[in-house]
Amino acid sequence: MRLRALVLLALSGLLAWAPAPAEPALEQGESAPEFEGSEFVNTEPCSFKSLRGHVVLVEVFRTW
Amino acid sequence: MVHLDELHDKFGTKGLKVLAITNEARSAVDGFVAKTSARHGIVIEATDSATAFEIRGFPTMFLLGPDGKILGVNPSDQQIEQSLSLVRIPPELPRTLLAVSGALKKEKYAEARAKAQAALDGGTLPSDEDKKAATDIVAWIDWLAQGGLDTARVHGEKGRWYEARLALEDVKKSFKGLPQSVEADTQIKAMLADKAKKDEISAWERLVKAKQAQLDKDLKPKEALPLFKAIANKYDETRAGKAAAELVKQLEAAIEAK
Repeated sequence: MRLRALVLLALSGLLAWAPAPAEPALEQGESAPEFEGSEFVNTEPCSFKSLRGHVVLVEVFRTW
Repeated sequence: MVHLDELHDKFGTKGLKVLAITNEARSAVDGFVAKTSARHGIVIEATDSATAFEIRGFPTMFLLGPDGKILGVNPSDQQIEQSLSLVRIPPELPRTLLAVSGALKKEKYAEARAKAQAALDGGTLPSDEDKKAATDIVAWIDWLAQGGLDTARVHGEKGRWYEARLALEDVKKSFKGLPQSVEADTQIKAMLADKAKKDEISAWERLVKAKQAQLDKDLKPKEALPLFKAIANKYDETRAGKAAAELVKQLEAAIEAK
């Protein structure tokens, strides 16, 4: 699982480096890249895959 | 963050899951929770979704549909509310289907489906409610598997064969024993029989490995350059080859700047 997540992360990074794409690498209708949670606060351990069926509002944030 | 809690409270019972993701230290997150009294789920990740989602600033919100696809970026409350009509949560399973629940928790979908179907066929379910739950979970698993195949199709339509293959491999593995797994396997074989698609996949695989080596071994630009140059030269007609060529340019610029 960890290797898969790292590979996907590396891939998404590479997509970002691709020469001026005609469309954004991530756009509406595309699958969200899976995260690899190491700790979970206020929630059971989960993944996007485990939440299939729900609508998920995900905020990528920093505490600063 | 207060707004996330409001959304969690307002729509949580209707199928909305609210998650905030960061890759910061637990101590920073604990301090943040103490300060804001946040009640929604927070994930501390080992990877970096900021890179994976290619966001331009913090915070950035994504609304994901029940199939895991992006419905919108920084959605309005109205868009969130409207999207809830798409929710397709697996049914609550009764005690008579405990074995199905157990298999689902382990993400053994084919096993869960087989157990639910066996319970239906065997006539062991005591009530109509139980039978409905079993029927619904079978339909839900079929929907989930089909969603994986659809994801692969969307990638394929955009020429993203590496991503399409990853999606198909996931279906093949997760739903082994079901027709969708067989279909995924058939599609993978067809994909790899096509030279152009196979080259694209091979190029991305090499590119991902090269990038991984660069990260793992902390390679300097001069050391990493040959890895990406080889891919750019060999696969110059592919998307991955073009991405490698771009990396080569960046690395050469970094070397020259020193």
